[in-house]
Amino acid sequence: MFKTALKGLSGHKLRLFLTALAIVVGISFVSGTFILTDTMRGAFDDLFGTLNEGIDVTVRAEASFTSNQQAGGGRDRVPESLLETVSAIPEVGVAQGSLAGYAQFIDRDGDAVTTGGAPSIGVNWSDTELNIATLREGTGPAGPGEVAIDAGTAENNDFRLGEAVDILFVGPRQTFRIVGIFGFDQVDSLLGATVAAFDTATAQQVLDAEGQFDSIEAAAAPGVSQADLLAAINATIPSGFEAIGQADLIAEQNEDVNQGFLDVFNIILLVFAGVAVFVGAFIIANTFSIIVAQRTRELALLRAVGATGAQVTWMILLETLVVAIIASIIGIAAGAGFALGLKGLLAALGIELPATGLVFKPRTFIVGMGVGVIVTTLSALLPAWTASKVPPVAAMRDVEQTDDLGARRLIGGGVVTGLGLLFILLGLFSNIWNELAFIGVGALIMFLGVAVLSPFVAERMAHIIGFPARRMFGMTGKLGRENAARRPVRTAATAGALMIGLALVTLFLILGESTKVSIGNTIDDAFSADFVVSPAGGSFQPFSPQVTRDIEALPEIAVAAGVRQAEFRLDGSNKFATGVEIEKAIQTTNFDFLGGDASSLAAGGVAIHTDEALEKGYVLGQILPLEFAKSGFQDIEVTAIYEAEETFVGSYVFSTIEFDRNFTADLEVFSMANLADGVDVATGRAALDGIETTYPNIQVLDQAGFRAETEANIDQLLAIVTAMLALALIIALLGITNTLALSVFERTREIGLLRAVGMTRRQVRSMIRFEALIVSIFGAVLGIGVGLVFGWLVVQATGDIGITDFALPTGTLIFVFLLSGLLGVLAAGFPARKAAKLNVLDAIAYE
Amino acid sequence: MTASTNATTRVAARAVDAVKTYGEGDAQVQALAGITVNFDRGQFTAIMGPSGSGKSTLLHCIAGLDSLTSGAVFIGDTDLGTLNDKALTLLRRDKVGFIFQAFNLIPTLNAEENIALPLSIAGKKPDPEWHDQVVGAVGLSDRLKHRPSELSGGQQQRVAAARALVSRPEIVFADEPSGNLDSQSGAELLGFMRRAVDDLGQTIVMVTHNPLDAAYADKVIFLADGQTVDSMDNPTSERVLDRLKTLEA
Repeated sequence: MFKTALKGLSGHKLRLFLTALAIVVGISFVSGTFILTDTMRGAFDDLFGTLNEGIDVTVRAEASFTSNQQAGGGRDRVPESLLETVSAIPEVGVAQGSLAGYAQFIDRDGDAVTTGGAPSIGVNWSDTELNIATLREGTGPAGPGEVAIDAGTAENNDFRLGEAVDILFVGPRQTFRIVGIFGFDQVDSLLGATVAAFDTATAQQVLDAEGQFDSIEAAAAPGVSQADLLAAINATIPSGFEAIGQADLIAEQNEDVNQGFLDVFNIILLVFAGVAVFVGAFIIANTFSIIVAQRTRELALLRAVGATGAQVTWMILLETLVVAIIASIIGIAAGAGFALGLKGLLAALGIELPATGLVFKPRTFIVGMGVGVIVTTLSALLPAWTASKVPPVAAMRDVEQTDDLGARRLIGGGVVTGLGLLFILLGLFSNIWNELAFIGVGALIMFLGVAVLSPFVAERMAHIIGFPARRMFGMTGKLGRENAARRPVRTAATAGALMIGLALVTLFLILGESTKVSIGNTIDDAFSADFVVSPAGGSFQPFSPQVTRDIEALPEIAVAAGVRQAEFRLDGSNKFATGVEIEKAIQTTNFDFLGGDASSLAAGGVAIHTDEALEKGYVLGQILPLEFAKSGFQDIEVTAIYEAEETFVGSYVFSTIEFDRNFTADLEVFSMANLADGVDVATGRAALDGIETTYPNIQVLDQAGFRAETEANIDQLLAIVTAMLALALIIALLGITNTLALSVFERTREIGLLRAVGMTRRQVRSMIRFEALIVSIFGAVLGIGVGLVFGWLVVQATGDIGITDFALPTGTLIFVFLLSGLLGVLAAGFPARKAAKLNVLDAIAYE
Repeated sequence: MTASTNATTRVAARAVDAVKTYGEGDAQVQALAGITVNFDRGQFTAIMGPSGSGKSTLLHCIAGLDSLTSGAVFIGDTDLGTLNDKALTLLRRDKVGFIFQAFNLIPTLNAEENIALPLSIAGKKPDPEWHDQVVGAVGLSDRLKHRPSELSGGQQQRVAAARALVSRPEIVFADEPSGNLDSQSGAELLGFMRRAVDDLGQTIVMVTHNPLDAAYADKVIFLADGQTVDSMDNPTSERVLDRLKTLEA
């Protein structure tokens, strides 16, 4: 049987090539995702290794909970005196204090130097052997006004030794002379971070850490083991501080990166890869069922000469397996190219990832192979089972095959669709344990259900969609239309693959548009600030509170309130805290206090949004055990309950005193300003232009500008999501190509007859293209239809996170609709050419 | 009928020194070995011969479905060898009708649409009077809205015959038109073809191996080994059968 299976394969190379392509593309997405994230993990691993080179033990402030440093959840600093304490320990060979904080270069054009994600930091230059940086040119910084910079930053901005450079800090902007340029072993920069190094006293001054370090690093004296060193340090340092070995520290840093970002990134990519594989499964199932149908005579002959039904099933599955294995291997290899492409795409969108050699782990191969083989085999199960049902007598028959649409299909499809919808509704509207998983699985089930049901409307839809073709293009239009209508199951399955991608695109377009309209309405209706200050150029680099202070000092401005954000922990989950000067914030933001007021909050405690308070049962005056990275567990009183239209206010608001007590975050994520009485927007705008010049890392927008900026950000996110879904659409288009190629093969005689009685090649091509157009428009109708339902449901369920208005991106949807048709016609290119090239004589003599 | 003896009858199609070889070297097969033959306008000609005699190849070449290795074929005054694929296609569409042994009809079109197929491909509509006459002659008036799968084999072949005639082609080629039919249906089809020549003035060239079918023709041309070996005017099935026996012997 194995031989027969292999023969079967080699006899249908083209169809199998197209099927394999669907697997290859899906698997390359899966393996590309793993390769990319593994590569990034490797890059971070290298980075942390470099950062901790030569260091045996690190001493730092204790913290029961930490979150991402950039989210403001960092540890408290340590006093300078701790360095002397540690240095005095006999087991310590050498020790250094280190300090890092926000320092952003300004380039020659006066623009802030941005990194596309990597930090902009200032550090103290260590004169010990523990300094990981090695000077390439000049000297180390030795006094006020001197800075050494990393070679990467120097290269990118053409900064030269001896030159003056301006640097932005939390405090005022300052000018330094470049006295040294350093690298890290052979490497010019640490994953694209910009690093400015000062002598310790200057660093402490500009980084606002007088008499402090972030941590103390120590190397063991000759002959002392790391364990002994750790024990000796632990025995000496006062309580409130902790010592950690190098390996543990690196592991901890890696874990932070993985949990904070890489894992999420990995999961998001895998979800899109999953969609692509799911669409691929559709194509595979459809292709194999067409192939089985076309091989009816051959299979019947096998049965007639004595093969059992089970043997026929196994033969088909064996063929599938061979295709799956070959296609998966190609897909896994193609994943490397895919990883590079994805990296390029993200870079084009401003998200730069560390550049190192691609990391390929055995896991990538195992998962890629597993997914490829399992999904392909599962997809071919039903066709393989159908093959076993071919009666031997079919070898003698030659009948036009038709699709039977029975009651079983109707009931089954209805049940499956309903089940999918139920899962989605549960995920959206109930407090089930994993909403996203329910919605996702529900959507997949619903796609299957709709695909099972859609053949019932396929014939009618093909006739409706094809009506203009019939009218305008006569017989070729009519034949294309009839061909699309003649096999409803095949047409529906082909369209169904396109439906999946388009439904998701539609869903995200609706979510994007609804979010834009909702936020726009919030800005128009509820936004009381005249101006919003935010990080420039779409970077998320927080800025110095000095910006807000300078703005407020302008005579044209009445009040300016900065907003800081940081993470803390409550009841075992991380929450976002908003820190504001509440007396000012109530002027720039619509706070509606339902309990307590601004002055009660200003005195301390936390204000909680009424929705959160109601959901969690928190009441005014209640004492909550909050957990902070800086200050540990603190009992904090709920001193106000508020309602606010603006979503950025968040659910937990702290006034400045309480915020500073518990968080290290000293930068603002944005701030808001109101004009002084009698000053018009244009005058205020002109005054604020000066602020933008002084602080090139920020931008000041009026309400309309802020709205436009917000919408542009949403559009960018939509562009990324659509690009991720593009692969699913490409696979679906491959499906159209595949089905048409198989149909052309099946209709060889028919096409030959048409050519014999006078149809030109051009007309044959048009006929096939019309069929593709109808199938793809059918897919678009299904996809946009299902997407509309999804979109409406999701918008209904997300009112509480700010998507309050359901809005249709009508123009974009029409564009998507037309584009689908166009792409469908392009997908028909190959089968159309193949059909047009058929030799008439061969076609009519075909047996 | 005495058309074949009438020297003034113009020729509807002809082959001159037609040679067709397949394959190369030792495997080379000569299907047509230099045939010269005329098919007169308004006449029903049958081509007969044993298997491998080249009769189907001759039909395909004259009909513009296949090309010659050397020599020339003409439909009317048009030398098919000078035409490209597009021109050949249009010639088939506008000047030639076909009836094949099987698979004559497009399954997605009903009988009426199948009959009008060559015209509608050309973006034309049938002349209603002529259409009704043809449809009436094949006896399909009450079956026009049926799809091929709802028609019997005989009815399908009569639809094919109607399609071949409806565009008033210069010549109709039929390749074993009754090959898949029972004798009753075959007789009906051939009777219709005969009437098309007698009543409608059509020219028909038919390949067949059935002497009963050949008896409906005005003239039979016998082929063997890629050459014309004989011809017979006003054939009867007995005479044709006798002649075939000597050919195959």
